[in-house]
Amino acid sequence: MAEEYILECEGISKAFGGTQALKDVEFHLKKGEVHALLGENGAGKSTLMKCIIGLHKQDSGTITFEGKPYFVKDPADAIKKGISMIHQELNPEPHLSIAESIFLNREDTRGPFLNKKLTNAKTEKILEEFGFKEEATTLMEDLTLAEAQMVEIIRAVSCNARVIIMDEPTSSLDSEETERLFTTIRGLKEKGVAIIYISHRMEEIFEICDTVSIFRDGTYVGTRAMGEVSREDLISMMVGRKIGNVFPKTDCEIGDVVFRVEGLTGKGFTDISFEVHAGEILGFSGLVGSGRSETMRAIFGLDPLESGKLYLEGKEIKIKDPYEAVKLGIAMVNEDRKDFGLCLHRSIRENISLPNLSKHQKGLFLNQSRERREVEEVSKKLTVKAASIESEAYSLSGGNQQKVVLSKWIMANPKVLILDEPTRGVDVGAKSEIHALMCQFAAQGMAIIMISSELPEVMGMSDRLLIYHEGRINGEILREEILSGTVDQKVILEKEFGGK
Amino acid sequence: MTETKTKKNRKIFGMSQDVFMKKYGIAIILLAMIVFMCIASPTFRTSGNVISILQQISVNGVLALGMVFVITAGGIDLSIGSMLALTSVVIGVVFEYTSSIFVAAAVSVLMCGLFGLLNGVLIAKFNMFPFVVTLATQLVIRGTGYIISDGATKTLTNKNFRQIGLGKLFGVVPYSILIFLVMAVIAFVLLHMTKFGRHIYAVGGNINAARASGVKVFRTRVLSFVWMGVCAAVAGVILTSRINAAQPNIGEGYETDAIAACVIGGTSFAGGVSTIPGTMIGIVIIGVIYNGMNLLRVSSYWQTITKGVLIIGAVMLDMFLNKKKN
Amino acid sequence: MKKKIFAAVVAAAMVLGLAACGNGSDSEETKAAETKAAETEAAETEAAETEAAETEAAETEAAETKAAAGDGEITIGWLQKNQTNAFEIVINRGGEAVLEKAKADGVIKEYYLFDGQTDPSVQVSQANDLVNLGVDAVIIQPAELDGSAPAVDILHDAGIPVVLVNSLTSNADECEGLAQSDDVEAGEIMANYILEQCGETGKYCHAQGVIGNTAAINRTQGIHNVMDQQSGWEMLEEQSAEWLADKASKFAQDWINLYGDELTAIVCDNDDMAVAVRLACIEANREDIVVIGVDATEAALAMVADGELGASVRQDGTTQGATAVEMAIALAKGETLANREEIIPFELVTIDNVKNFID
Repeated sequence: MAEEYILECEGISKAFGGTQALKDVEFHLKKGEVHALLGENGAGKSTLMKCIIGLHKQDSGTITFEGKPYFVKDPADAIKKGISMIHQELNPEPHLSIAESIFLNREDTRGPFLNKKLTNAKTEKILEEFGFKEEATTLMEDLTLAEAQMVEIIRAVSCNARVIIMDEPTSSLDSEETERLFTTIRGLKEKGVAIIYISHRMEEIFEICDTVSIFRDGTYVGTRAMGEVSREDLISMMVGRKIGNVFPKTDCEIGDVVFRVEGLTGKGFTDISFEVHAGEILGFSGLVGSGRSETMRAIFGLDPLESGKLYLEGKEIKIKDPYEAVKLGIAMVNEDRKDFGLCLHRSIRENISLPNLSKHQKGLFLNQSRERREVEEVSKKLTVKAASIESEAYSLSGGNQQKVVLSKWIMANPKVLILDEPTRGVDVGAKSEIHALMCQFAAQGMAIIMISSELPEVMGMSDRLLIYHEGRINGEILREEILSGTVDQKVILEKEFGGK
Repeated sequence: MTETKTKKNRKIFGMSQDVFMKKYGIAIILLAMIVFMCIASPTFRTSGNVISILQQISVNGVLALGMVFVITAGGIDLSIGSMLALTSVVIGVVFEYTSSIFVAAAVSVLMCGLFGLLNGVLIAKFNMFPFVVTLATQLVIRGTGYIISDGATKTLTNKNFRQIGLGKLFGVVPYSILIFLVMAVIAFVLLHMTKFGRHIYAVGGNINAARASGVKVFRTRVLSFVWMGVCAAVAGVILTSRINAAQPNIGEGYETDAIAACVIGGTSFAGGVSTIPGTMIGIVIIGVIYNGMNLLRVSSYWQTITKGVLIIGAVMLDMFLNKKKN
Repeated sequence: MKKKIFAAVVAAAMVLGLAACGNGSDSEETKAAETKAAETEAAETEAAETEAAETEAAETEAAETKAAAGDGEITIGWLQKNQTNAFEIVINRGGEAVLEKAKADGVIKEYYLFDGQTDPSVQVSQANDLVNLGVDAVIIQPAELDGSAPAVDILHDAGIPVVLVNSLTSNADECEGLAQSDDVEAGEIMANYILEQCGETGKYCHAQGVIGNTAAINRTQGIHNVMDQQSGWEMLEEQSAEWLADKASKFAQDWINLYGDELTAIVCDNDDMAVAVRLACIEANREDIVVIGVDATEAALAMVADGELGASVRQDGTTQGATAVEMAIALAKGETLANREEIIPFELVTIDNVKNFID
């Protein structure tokens, strides 16, 4: 322990509402090492990093940085203290030049004016050190993602960062760019900069990292030197949860194929084909960003599809906008409830009837008494808890909001129901209610597609499970295989990480 | 903590204080203004003055009834003043040729509707800011008015047109008020009782959620501007009849009053929140302010300042009453 | 705000336009070149000029020699207040007719009409444009008393003679010519008409134009000159309806409600307001209220002819415009004016003489 740790976290806990995101977690980072953070979706890696850079404040626990207690107000403060994070989404200021971007908030001035000449000269010098060929005055928007990332790293270094956090830095880089990034990382290491490297790509972790810490369900599992572990060891450490009887999947009769897609390609996914039957729950698992949501959004018409064909009940269909999907009987519950699910300042009634207004139309007008009756009915069926159906959606809890979203699509009685993370941010009680409802809908002959990043959930609920890896389907697992135990979480996780 | 809670839970007419104030706060303000005016000026409550107020608010009222749709759908329309002027000169040409009020009004509605369509398409199709688009089109529309009229004011020699502004049903209720009330009923039905109205609320409330719920977002946004254009034309017909002349330079500043009426009436600039009854109250409040200050012999310059202060007050009140939960 | 933006766009367009025409230093060269080119045509031109001079001779004495001596290159600039307001258009048309004729007759080579959009800042920049264009005399119809004064300064400093038409600037003494009507007179005519119609006693309201505008100030003063002498008359209200019909209409309604039978007359600073006020009176069944305005607009005259509106005071815009242009042309030729200031009188239009003013 006496080794020169630059950053030490001890006993960190953090809860959001009822969800314990971090439980008594520890993390030790040595000077000049590249330290990987590994864990399933929602294991707590990001939350811990956000506590370190000051986006969250931990509920308990201490952080020590360079031997001194470390308290941070916000990311800017963290940068000042010497910790920078390179985010996944880059290029926040597309209209700035490289020099302006690197020296943002630290501009050179001459009296009240900016001294651009000096800033540019300083930038040129730094860029040269890094062997970066662009001019200091080049605009950020003219750079490739890899170059923009490099600028971010250069900015961190020029801010005298001793710890740099990289969140999925290679997710949008090609192999050559990745190699260049690794060269830079090695260079930083020599200078004594410690790097926290968050990635789902095992190969990279083995190539560039010295140490790895594994997290699972908000707890710290352990730290290993890279040389001492195998890929299998890591996966075993990440897996842990048991599938209990919390998922009340009832078997029901599976009918004909209702919906089929062929060779779908779009932004974030390539050549996706699958079919879903009446009464079937088809699960999709994969890492965040593996292209599951992107595929479904494109099917539903929210994003454009580059190529591929859709068939509903055997007939080819075209969907350019969600209203066409809704008209055809395809419904989708988005993962982002606040942005794509609800009008928060409108009533439950209006939210639920929004896609179903044609049903309530009588001549030119809406039959509001019938609307009220039917909304009451469906919200009772889905046990939405609210003062009345006139309550505004924002006044509801997450679980009840989700039930409102479900209600509106159930009222539409779709043939195909796509559920993207249907139980995210929902408390345990509401979660099992939603699962029970899913089974009920399936029993009525609906074809259900379910995306979930929670492995036990998707394993427990699916009749069939498709696993995504980097925009492609990397394996199919049947319910029998899960029930008989031939396939367990480890196998699925392996496939999610690209294994065969 | 407990103290504030009990305070919040105080009931008025079976409603919590919050809900009550949110629903009826603005009506109470109007009531207070009316009571104050009745005491301060004996003229205020005479039937003649009440009719005058209604007549004076009819132009702005019809505009506000259009504006409330646009703002609720998340937009704004600054071109309506120019549309008033365009309507005026179109009437000057068409009515003089045809002598038909109906044809003149129909042509105006068509022209303003088309400019509304242009506004809507530019905004919804190319995702331009409503503020910028309508700031630009108001110049185009006003210019069109100048071209049609050759810049000149034209008297309506046929006196029939005056009847819209001056004529009275049963000798009591001026037609202009009737038109305003009919438009209010239409607006109420459209916004509160049809699919179109729901779509307006959904698009303004959360455009992504509306789209993901199968709402034709483009069509809804465009139609909100077309409806605004129609309202502007109707308001233009009333205004023209009141001054009995086709004038290409009228209508400046009318958008301010219309927007103010909406905002005072509880329409949220963020979109998705409004009611027609609330907007009507906002319209009447502005009318009472103008009329009241005239009766109290306040100079028109102070009236302008008062209106500005009042809008800020109304927005603050709205924020206070509708404290959004984060 | 809107106006300003619009003005900026227009100004930008004009600057571009001028740049395309070449800058000021070139203009002398161009002129020289033109003179040379003109030599061949000289005989023709001169003949034409003599002709023109002959026709003009009937109107203006001593013109012919100078006209003949002139190179036929006189250019006149006119900063119009705007090209949209009904009355301004009357002035504009009155002057433009004279300019058109002078150009056809070859007395002047070219003239420039600029729309000031009732915005003094626009007029100031347009004055600069005229200096660059090298005009020989300028007519200004100021948008504002003080605001438009810098435009006069600019032209005065450039040695270009200026004629102010219709209204004045605060530095009017710098100007070589003034073609004015006396708005005080208009106010007095209105007041006298009210006295004539209503007798010794009564109470009246006054709907003013935009405060600070010369015409509004002077008309108000004229009204007070007469009315303040009358012990039997009381002024109930004096409010600015900013020249606007709809605003005036609202004031009229509220005044009628407020003062009831006490109210005997409403004086308006222009006819747009007077027409709307009169309609409001008719609507309130108060035909007895005497209403009068200034300008004799088409709408007002129509109502006067029908006996609906008592009277209007006619400002002779056509003569104002024409006189101003004639003065400017004379100044451009280098003549001195017989009278530096021409006063074009107002006249009262009632049902008796309205026929003379309706086409």
